[in-house]
Amino acid sequence: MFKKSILTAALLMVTVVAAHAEKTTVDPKIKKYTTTAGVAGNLGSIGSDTLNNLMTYWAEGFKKKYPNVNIQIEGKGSSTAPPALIAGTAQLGPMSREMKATEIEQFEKKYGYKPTKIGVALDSLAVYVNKDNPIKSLSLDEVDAIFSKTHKRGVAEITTWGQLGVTGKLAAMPISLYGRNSASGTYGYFKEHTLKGGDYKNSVKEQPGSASVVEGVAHDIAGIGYSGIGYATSGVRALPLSDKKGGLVEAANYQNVLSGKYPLARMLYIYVAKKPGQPLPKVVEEFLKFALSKEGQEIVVKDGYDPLTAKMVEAQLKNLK
Amino acid sequence: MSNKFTDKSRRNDRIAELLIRIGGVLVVVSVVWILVMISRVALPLFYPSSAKIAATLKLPAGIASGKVLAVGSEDGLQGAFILDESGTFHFLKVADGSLSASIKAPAIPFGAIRVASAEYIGKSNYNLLWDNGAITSVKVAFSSDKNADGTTALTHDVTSQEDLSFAASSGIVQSFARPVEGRGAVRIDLLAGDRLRVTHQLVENDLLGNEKRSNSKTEISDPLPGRISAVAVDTKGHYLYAGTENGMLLRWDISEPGQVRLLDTVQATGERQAVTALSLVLGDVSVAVGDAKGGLSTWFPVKAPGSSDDRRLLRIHTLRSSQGKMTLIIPSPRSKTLFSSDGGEIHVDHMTSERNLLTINSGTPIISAALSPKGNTLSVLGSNSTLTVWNLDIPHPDISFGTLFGKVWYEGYDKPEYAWQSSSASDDYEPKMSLVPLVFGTIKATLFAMLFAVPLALLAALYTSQFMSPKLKGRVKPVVEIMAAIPSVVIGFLAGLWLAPLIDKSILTVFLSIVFVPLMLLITIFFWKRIKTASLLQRVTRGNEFIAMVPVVLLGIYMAFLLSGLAETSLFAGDFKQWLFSTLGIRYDQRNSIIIAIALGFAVIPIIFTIAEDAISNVPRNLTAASLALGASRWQTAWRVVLPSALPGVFSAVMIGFGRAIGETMIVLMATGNTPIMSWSLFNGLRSLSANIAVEIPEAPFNSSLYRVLFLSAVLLFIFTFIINTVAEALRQRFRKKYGRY
Repeated sequence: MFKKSILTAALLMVTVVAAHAEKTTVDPKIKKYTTTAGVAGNLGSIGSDTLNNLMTYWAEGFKKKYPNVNIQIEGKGSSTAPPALIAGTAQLGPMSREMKATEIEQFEKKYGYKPTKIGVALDSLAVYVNKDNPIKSLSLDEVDAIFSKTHKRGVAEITTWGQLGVTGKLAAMPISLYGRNSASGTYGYFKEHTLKGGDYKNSVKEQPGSASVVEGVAHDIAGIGYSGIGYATSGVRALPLSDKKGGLVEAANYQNVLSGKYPLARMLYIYVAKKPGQPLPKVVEEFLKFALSKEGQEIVVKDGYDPLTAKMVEAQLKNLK
Repeated sequence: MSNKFTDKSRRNDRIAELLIRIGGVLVVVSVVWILVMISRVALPLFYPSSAKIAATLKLPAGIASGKVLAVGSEDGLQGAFILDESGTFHFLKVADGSLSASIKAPAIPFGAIRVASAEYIGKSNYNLLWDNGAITSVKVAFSSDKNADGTTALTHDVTSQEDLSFAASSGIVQSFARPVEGRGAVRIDLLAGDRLRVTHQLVENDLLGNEKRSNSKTEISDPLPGRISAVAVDTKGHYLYAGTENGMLLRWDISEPGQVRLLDTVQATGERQAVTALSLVLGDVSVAVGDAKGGLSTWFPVKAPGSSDDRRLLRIHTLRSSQGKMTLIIPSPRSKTLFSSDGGEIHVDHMTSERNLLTINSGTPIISAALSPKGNTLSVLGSNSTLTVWNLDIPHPDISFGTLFGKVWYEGYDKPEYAWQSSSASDDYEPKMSLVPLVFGTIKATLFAMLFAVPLALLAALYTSQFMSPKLKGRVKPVVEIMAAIPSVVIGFLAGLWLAPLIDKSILTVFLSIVFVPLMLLITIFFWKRIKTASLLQRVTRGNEFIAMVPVVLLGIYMAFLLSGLAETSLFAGDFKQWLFSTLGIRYDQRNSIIIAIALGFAVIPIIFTIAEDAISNVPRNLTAASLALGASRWQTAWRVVLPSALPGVFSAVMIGFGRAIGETMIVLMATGNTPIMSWSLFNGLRSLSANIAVEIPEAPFNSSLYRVLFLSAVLLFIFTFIINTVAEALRQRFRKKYGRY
């Protein structure tokens, strides 16, 4: 037992060191973006807050290439994307989770065909604690016991840091929970994967954006919260996670996301209304191509998320045709 | 000339009067119109459900009702199909009843001649159990499309699902097959002689990428309390349920290959009547139990009292009690609605709301029935060789008065609760939409804010109008009024990100200040006469006394600050919040009701202050002059003469502030954690009706239950403010009659 924990600790050290040592780089096989003629007009994006900064950066880069394009971006939460696409108030619907069957149905009812899903970046949904919190790692079983009132993973309720093995002043402190509001795809994803479809505790403070979750945790020593890795700041620390209690913990880095070892790795999407057999409006298509280009994926890295591999980009570009 | 002038002014008066009247009427009309509009969105929540026959189709020639193993329909109400014993799907057009196509199931196992039974496992997939005990699985793709010329075209296809097929086996009565996520498939057989057998067919990939297949068979050896009369398996193949002829319900964990663990044995029926139908409700948490006397109830495992995580099956919802023998339970693929049949009628009930939505009677005994993939059409096979396709209109089955305002026992909860948690990323989610925590939050926020704001604003108004020098008053009042111009989003932002951490750090100082500031003021007043002679203080003229009090207040806060550290170490073991949690069990949350009280109070203070100050200043000068002349002191005059005369105005000031606080959205949204907690504690947050609307309306799908419930909460808010304003106005009129006669 003792040996095992030493081994775990050693492995943890290795992964932490590795995470710091290697900087995420974009797959060199991804093609550079080539500008084409005749791209102009308005482009609207409504949806995910997780993707909000990324969309803004992409829009900036895109506008540099095409000064005649006017882009508006709104990011209140992934659940706002399907209604916006259906109502036609936006052409791009960034989402941090996949569309639900009912959302797809409603889309189909309006358009007569299914929405097209384009994966644009990878994210390791992170569990954050205050930077002064000494806790090393958590398992999703424990995270469920902290955040949910249904405990679908079977670990009994955890209310104080001491129950997680934290010693010192923090030990007797109640855990202060921060989360997103229900419009958020991150809220939904976390609920599905960490809580196994259970319910959040009433005491989870629902924040309107990912940035305010991180901000909340940064100012609350007993705080814990979840949001996309792109919102990490110096005031918080993303915890390495394992799926099962006692399992091997993995840091939220690119290698672990690609290998699927990090338990909360996910794809971030942009949904568009694309009639089968017909090309997208030029400006929409070019925007997506830009996001999936070398430049676009470099922006992903700059924003703190993980880029797609060349193979993934290839597969996504196929969906555009 | 002068006549002309008065005529003109009279005419102008009339025009003005008319305009004002029109304006007033327009205001009333538009307010009523708004109420009507939001009510119209909310009202369909309570519309009744209905079902209409879309078509009654004759079965194709040569196929009797008894030979039909499964029926189905397509969502667009254009097509229906039946599966016969030979494993052929016959697709029928709803429009004219003609046969559109007959497709034989692919991949018929070797040695199989006819299909013994078919099981629908969701998502248009059917498991076929062949007469030799082999199982195959097929997917039926069936949909309708509008052609360019307006006609409808049916597309149909039957494809084989190869990963869900099992070899022949003998002695089988009933079979279930389920895919096991990432591991292969599992088959559960009810064998002759009441034996249950679980067979896992595992597919594993080793490190080199080679596929390795293995089988593991386990027969259940637990002694059964009676003869098995119904069996059900959840969609993931994790749990097996069985009902017996003496009304017992059993549950096994079959998720681990080679292991079967009996989890529950409970009496499921009241008079030990047989369990005749079993089915999992959408989401795989609850199991619906139908019995021989027509009872229908749902059960799910609940934490047994006393134990830490031992969960036992418990009866949660009782939907029906007495009809004929329950023969069929069909769960809706989109909600927690259950369709159950006693052979004559089909009853539609919703599990969570316990609403009996509909009874469908097609006039002939029912052999089998099925819902379309989206659950909006129902096909019923009657004994007279007809297939009836029903068009269902069940608008909002999950909403009832009980779910909105009562405690509900939701899936996975340990007890009935008021809960608000409206959505999830999955479709099988049970939405929790109780308005009680939200109404509670609204009342709590308003009450605390008023407790903070009313004394401050009213006393300030009294002081400003009665004691302050007119010159200063001329400056103070506009400044306070400017406070009202600060956008509430700014106040909320500051409260959430600046004030909350500040108070978090110095909570004890805040509490001690409540004691120390008044204490310091009293001490200063006590010594005022003596220290007044000091040269510096002589410059403080009448009407400017409060300036001298500013340092006193600051000193009080400073003393509280100094003492808080001392009090914390000596009384509260070094950490007040810690002490609260460990001794009193009260959690201190950074975003709490104190922050709300201060921030929301800050927003309503200017309103209450201005209106109250105006009311007090408007008390006729002759009243105060008379009072003073009769020898009353300034304080006596203000308290006994001025305030009562101004009471109607002061009262409306408070009420208008109250109305503003109830509807305030941004401050509550940003400064609380929007936690739907029902507790009066000062130290935790809340979720108000208005903030809830702001948070959830952008995600609510148009015309969904959530969308309409949010509008309903808007109607509630409207009614709240309407009642408060009406009561306030009525009281104001009474006060005016009583006090305002001067």
